[in-house]
Amino acid sequence: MVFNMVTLEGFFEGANPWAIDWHRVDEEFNTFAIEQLNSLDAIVFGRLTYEGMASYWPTSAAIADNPDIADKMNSTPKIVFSRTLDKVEWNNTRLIKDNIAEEIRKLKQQRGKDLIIFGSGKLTVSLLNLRLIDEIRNIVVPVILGSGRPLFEGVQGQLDLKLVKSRTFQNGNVLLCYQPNVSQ
Amino acid sequence: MEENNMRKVIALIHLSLDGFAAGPNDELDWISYDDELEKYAHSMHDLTDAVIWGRRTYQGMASYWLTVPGDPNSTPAALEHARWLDNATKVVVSRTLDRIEWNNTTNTVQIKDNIAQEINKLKQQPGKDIWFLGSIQLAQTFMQLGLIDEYRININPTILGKGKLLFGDLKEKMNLKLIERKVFQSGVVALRYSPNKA
Repeated sequence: MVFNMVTLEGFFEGANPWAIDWHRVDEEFNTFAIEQLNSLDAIVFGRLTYEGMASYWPTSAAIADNPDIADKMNSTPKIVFSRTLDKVEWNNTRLIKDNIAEEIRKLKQQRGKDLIIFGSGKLTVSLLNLRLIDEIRNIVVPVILGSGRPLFEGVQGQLDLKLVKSRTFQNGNVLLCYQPNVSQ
Repeated sequence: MEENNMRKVIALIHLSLDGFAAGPNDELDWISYDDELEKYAHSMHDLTDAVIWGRRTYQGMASYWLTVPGDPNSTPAALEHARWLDNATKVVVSRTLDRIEWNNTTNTVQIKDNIAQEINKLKQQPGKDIWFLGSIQLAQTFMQLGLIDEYRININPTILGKGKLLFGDLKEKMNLKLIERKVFQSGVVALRYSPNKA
């Protein structure tokens, strides 16, 4: 499962890495985020997203700003896919260096709750191309950036989806949940 | 507040989940067009009485829609749209055309320069809202000039992978206000936004 906040044009970050000042986060979103984190076995990242998250959530600033989410983010098991990282220091994090597809298949076969990918554009696209993603969850923020990084850049071939859920938030965010169309 | 009395320019846009308005060769076959979406699109007929095109779109539309009434194979929905077009004021943005023709009717307007000024003039005239149906390029021009008052974005349940981005060339971030969300059987999610001027 892959979860992201995106702009109306499908960007998950602006022109620069971590340009996410357009995110709209409030009480209602936090409630949703905690419920989502509670429904998971692990969060999955690529290196860049991992580094950004790992340098934020354990800090006292994050814990002061958003104690509930910080607690969840720090305690939930995390998996990082990276060939270049040597070690991971964020609490409850496991590093996987090779055979991403095989590792993901193995994880999916284990009994348990869902795995979710946050951010991690490259990882998401490679897993989409391997058809290893079972659900795409986008929160569409009511903003158009004009320039930025498309979440699905590099997806090969047209991928038809089935809308399985949608929800409107008070602040204008719209959650859209899709599954790859199995009839393909 | 006086804006409330002005005619709105409404753009109805079909997008893929990855933000494309058309495939790399302008393909539109990925749009989940069905009776429900057609009905939604055609609800614009009651709401609007004018249409905005660029030159190429106008030429394409004229060469097709003017033939629809005489074609025995035309569907009732196509006939309805052709009739609406006949009656609508046709606004064409083009520096190069000599004149705008549509069945010898006189309800055409050509805008050669000062797009913002001309469109704002139109908005102040009495009438229903105005349906923007121009190309991606013209849409970007209109967005930059802040001329679009409502976006009706239909998000299709498809990742295209490549194509023509609708919002490829905006210079500034634009905040929007969500007005409405509708979900269709096909999985298309129709979102209505107005620019957030606050």
